Amino acid sequence: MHGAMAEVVIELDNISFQYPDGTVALRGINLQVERGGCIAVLGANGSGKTTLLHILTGIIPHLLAGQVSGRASVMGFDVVGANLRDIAQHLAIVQQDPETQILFGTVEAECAFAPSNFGLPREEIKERIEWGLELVGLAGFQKRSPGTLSYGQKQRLAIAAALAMKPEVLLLDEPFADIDPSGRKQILSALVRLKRENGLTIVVTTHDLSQVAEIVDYVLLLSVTGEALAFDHPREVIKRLDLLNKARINVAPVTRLAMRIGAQQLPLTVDECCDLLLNSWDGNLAKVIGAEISSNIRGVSPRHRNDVVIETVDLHYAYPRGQAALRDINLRISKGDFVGVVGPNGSGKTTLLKHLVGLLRPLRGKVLLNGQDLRRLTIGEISKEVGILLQNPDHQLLYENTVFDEIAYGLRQLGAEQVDRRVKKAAAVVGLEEKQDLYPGKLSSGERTKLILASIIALEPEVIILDEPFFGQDYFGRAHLAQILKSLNERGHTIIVVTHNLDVISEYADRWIVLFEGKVVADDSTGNILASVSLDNYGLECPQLVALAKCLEQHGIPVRGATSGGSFT
Amino acid sequence: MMQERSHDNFVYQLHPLIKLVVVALTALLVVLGPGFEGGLSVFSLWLGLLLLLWFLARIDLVQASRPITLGLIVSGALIITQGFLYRYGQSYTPIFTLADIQVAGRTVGTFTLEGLVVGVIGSLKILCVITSAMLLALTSDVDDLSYALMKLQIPRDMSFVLLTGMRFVPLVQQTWNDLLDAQRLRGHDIDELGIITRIRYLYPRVLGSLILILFRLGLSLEITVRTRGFGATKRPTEYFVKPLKPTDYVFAAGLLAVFVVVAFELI
Repeated sequence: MHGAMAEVVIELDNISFQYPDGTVALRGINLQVERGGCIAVLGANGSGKTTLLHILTGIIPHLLAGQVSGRASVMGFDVVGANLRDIAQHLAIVQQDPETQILFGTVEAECAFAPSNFGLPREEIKERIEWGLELVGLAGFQKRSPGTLSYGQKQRLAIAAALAMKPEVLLLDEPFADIDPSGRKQILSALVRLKRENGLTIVVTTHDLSQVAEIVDYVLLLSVTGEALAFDHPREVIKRLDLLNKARINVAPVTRLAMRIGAQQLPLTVDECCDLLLNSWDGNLAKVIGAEISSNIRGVSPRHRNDVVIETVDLHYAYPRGQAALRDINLRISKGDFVGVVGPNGSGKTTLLKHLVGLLRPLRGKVLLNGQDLRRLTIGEISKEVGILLQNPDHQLLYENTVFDEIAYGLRQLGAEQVDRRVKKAAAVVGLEEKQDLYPGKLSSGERTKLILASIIALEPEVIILDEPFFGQDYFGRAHLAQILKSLNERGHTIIVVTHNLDVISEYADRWIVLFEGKVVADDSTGNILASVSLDNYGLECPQLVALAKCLEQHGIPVRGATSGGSFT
Repeated sequence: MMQERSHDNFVYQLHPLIKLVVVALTALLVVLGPGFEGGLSVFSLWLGLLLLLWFLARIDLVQASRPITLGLIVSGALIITQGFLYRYGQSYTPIFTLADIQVAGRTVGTFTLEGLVVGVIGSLKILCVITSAMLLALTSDVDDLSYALMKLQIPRDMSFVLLTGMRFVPLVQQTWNDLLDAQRLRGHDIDELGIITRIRYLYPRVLGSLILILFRLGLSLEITVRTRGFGATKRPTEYFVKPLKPTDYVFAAGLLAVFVVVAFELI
């Protein structure tokens, strides 16, 4: 960043880093961030984004070994030489996985930990806790146990605990990967305020610039080999498709649309794109937008209502001493359906999925699999018909000797020839056929997700359920996984996906189930839901192109196939 | 472990220091308390008191089932071994004889009354320790315990190690359960397996995954602790101040009175 006379708070001078196993994560990074600035570190999985944050905090080299070269300074501290506790008085980090950074039994204690460590007066700590929780939308949660929060709420708690430190520099490692859109908007607007009013400096890693567009001043674009490809304003970076492709980063749908119509200034958000189109509107644009929407939104598919594979009847569930998580859910999922289950954090999505595989048993009502009550079946028996990829696939890995053995694990009762055939077929479906001899622990996070999916496919279940499968995956990872699901669906598998990523799911799912506060509030084809349901009311955000069409319609410009026709066919 | 619990009862609201006193007195009684002579009544009474506190705390027995089961198994084994092996001096009262077995000049095939009594006393001691420790763990927040340790002038580093250890217990339990569920979800009907098969083939595999996951988790927790300024000042703020209330004093006085009566067999 190049402001006149502004104080530089972060400075990286030719920083490179090599892990002890020889992997080079970063190569010659130069960076300057001024007070009150916000930098997005944009890169695909494995590009060194998290490593960069670890260097800024001093975690590297103080806690994680490796070879650092170059000079890194934060708030005047040389991070290699300084003490971590000194750096912590100026800088806070929110790691990617909130579950691994919660230490205490209550939300209040979690937020009080860091300010207590600094020896602040009790009253001030109390004010900071209330302030931090208010900013992230968790006001009044002080006495709650973190164990009773949803994954997205835990992420908000981790951010609140960091904010309670009142840091001058805040590092966020993919903070919005599992926060619902309304939560993301709330936190972003809080960060904008802190940046403007308190001069908070922010470094945020992401592989989706549109998620953080409203706070970012500069973008550091990293290649998959850890080199800086660009350091510039976001609008300049998104113009460089050659560099973005090299970094395996995709631009947002509205940016892509603007490129298609030859716009000079590229938009980062839906509102910007809407303004751009309104200022230069001509009749042909409606056709272009309509065509873009049609190619990105799955139309209405025939439903097979008579061929029900999973049915829930008045399903009701509450966690011990907790509020009802599911309230009288009645669903019929037909063979061959591709269903997206969407809803904000804490709406009961994961709880519903756990019922569909027998991990949870209903307090009232029942779940039927091909007409049979799941209570009469063991989980092992259910798994032969219904496979599930959990939110954290690492908990499903058994770390067998090789990828082949891992996939073959559930096939012990079959003969060697059949096992070999099924494993190779499943590995090929997910694209791991070249890695069958590798140790599973050597795979990347995205590959481990695919490995678990392969182990499920090998069991040849009728139904495949996935809980936030796109979590933490970059654009190409998401697109590849979505293509795998599409091909499985075309082969006759019923697919049920829980996700916040409505852009991906609107392209592939033919039916959406919208959950809110444990209830089904909408259940219809993708097109009908997007046309007639106000997703904003349920803490969700329309896919960008649909939001754009709605924005244009509000200004009196109907887009063919958009909102008023009832469906995006 | 300490998440789903009702906070609105007398035992839960007791000061954590008082609950630590319960554990300390139990430990004292177990170590210094009577043996064969009078042990049965002393430890029965103390266990009765602890169970009364459990009842008042409305502790969910399902939540506590594993340690209780373990305690009962160990107690059963102790009663059996003591019944057959313990001899009180030269005289003993046989209850039944399985076989006339001589080991090192001693008859060990006969189950004796004295052995039974010693076994029961040992079992009562074990159950007293388990119930008092669980009373503390199941009716106190980690934050409360941390505060209590601080009040006892335990160095902060040490109490923090204990605290993070306690944080790990439910995580380990949850991760272990998740891993077992993962086995079931991948078509392995582990509930149908016998205990030997589980021990030989299942548990080592799950344990391997557990260790890998916990290693990552431990590192992440360490990063969190270190980046949140742990140790930044020698005098960190006592944010959670929990003064002793009149009910705590009354309870402590009553507890001490019972202890004196029981320990000195004044009944």
